[in-house]
Amino acid sequence: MITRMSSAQLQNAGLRAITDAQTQLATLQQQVATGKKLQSASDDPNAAVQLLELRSELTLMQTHQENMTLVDAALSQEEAVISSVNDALNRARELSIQGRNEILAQSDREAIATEIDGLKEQLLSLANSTNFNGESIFSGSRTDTPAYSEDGVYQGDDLVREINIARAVTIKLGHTGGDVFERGEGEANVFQLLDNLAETLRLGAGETDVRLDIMQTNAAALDESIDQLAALRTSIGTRMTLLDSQLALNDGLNFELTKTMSNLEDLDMPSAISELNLKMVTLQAAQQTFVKTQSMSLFDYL
Amino acid sequence: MAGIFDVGASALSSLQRAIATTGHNIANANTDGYSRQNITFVTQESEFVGGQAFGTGVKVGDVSRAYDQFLTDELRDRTTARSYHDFYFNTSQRVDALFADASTGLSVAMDNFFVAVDAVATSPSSLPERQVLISEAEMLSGRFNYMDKRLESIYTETTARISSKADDINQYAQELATLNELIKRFASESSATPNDLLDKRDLTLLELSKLVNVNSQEQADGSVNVYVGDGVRLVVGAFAESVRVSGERTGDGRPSVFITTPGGAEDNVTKNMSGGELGAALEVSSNVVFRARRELGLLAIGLASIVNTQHAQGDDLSGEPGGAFFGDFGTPIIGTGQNSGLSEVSYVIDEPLELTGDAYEIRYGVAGPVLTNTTTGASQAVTGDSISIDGFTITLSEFAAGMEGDEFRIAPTADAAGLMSVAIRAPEDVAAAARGGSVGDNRNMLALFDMRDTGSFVNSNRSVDDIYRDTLSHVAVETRTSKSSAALEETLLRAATDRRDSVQGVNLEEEAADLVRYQQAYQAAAQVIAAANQVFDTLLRATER
Repeated sequence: MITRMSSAQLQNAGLRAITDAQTQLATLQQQVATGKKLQSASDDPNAAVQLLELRSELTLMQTHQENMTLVDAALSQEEAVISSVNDALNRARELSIQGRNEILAQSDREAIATEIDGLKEQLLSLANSTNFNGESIFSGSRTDTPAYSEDGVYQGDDLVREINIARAVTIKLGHTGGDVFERGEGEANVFQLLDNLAETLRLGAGETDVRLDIMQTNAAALDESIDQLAALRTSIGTRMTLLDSQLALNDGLNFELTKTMSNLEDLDMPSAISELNLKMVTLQAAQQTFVKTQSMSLFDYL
Repeated sequence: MAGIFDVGASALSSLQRAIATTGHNIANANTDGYSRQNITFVTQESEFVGGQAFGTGVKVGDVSRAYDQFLTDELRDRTTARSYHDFYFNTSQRVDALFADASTGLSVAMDNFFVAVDAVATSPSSLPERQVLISEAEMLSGRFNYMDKRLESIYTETTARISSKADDINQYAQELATLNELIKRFASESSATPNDLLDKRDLTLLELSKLVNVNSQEQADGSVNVYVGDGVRLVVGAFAESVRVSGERTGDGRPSVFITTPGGAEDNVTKNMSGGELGAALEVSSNVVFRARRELGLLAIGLASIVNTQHAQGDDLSGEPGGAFFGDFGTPIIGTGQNSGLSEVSYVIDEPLELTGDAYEIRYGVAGPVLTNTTTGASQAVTGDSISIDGFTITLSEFAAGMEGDEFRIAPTADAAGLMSVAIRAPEDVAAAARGGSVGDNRNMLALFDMRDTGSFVNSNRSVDDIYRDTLSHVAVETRTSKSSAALEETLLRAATDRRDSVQGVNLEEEAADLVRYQQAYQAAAQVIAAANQVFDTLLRATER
């Protein structure tokens, strides 16, 4: 216990009370003005490191979100193209049934063959579809090359691009021409099937039996291709479902991340403002005490 | 009657001195370092008349200052501690701001770089995405360069600041030597205490204790010998030595401190300098600034190595294997400098991911050169022209030509952040495809993207992100600790100041009371003179008839 005080000490004590209150007030003022309780990493080193990780995670998630939008667009485009392929093949199948009718004249069969030629051209152009980037979508990784040549030969490879959609989760962007238009090793692809059909329809009247036989085989092969397309559409659907659930997952995670970050760095405004008011009262009291005590002196009475 | 006059006069003159001393106290109530002075009175020698001792009045005993050596020492120690933490905090805070700020920190730039890698993985044939990747790489390496430059300028500014503090130390040393001389002379000529000179010397020692740890030893002749840091002699009697600070870095990143004796010889006393602002500057330069530079450099080298290694695994758009993505960090040579031997030292990084970010030193001792890791303290003898340690190889140009006392400081990662550069120029040269892959192949970019998490340093098993977070965390903790220490020391300093002031400080109320007391005594003494006068008058009148 200090029993004696110097005059300077007395004055300093009053002054310190004022400057301390001012310092605390300034800190609060800055926090309220910025809305952040952390003004620098040293305010809470642990929170600062966590925030760093959370910000990186959030950036990564935004990237994944954009990637998913892109994959979604690509799968939708593929789905539309495959749907058109399916229509074309179904039409070809109808035509092959019509073409087997013995009542038809050679000229009728020629008309059907011409339509099948048209369908093949349509299929070729569908097979060589490109995306917004000008990339051929069914060429595997040979995106700068059309998937099929004029005579229906596959020019791509079997590498389908994978895209990051979450940490350690990738999704395939689409399918290769092989998945869509080929029927397996050594077997005719859909373009060859249509060529065969058209060629068979153009066979002479004397070769009815041969024609019917070949058309029968081709029709069966077409059925297989159409089934293959149905399986593909299921695969696309599965991927879109995966994409949707990942999107929902990311949204939830995004919300959690943002909330955690806010807890770490954002200020509890109501309590900060009430503290600010309290500190202002403290400062005022310190100032008044200072003025009052400093005006008291024995010398006034001498 | 003469006796009455003399008694009254002695009281008047003593009380005049007392009032003057009170006035001196009042006048110096706001003078820094002033100690309240106290006057004491003693009776004059008695007169023996008729076997009785008669009092002859009063005289001044002594004028002493209210002083407590313990409280003065305590205040000095607390001042040293407060200044130390204050300086440490102020410097550390600047590094903290540099690392944590989203706009200057590395974290965002690193995020953006890897986002760009992912964008190329998503659209490998897109030239614009590849161009963005190269631009982000340039932003990232620019950020490394910027942070290194800022850290280096924080070091330079810190050195400049303590260089001017060294000038202050020298000025105080001169003042102390002069005061020693004056006090010594005063003491030899009089038995009284030179109160104001002693106050001035204590104040100078207190000012000095802000700058560096101070230890003073009082001598029999009244002078003090002053030692700074851990026993470095600064003032002996009337002789002062002088301190110089140089930006030349020690092995662990401190500025160097030299002391020059009046004889002109210069000693390196860096290791013995501690406490106060000078001590703090040395510590924070090593512990925060230099360490941050080494870690940042380690991060730069590691990131460049991870990216370059993976990039070389792939093919670019022309089907060529990926070239260097980030540029080389060079192979610096450490010259002979202040060494007496001829040997030069150079080093080459062999395995970037085996580096540690530590600082090393080769010193020629009696038994030949010894390599020491100054961060961990581990050391080993160097027995040939070259030695490999922690992922790099050090080569001595003239192994045998080194002289005892020669030293080389090697911090292989310290300058790397400043040397980070992007080597790749054309977007076509980004090797996004796996070996032999086509234009739409993104496998090498996917692999590169994954390297951010999987690529790690061998010795510590840390990823590049871990290193950045560790560095940020270290700087933030250092800043926070020094901040709370500074706040604590401020409280302790205030308490020590209060304790000293309660003994030494002037209280004006007290002085007012003394003034009243002495004034009343003076009036009474004046009455004694008046009484003597009346007695004399009465006697005169009686003898007139």
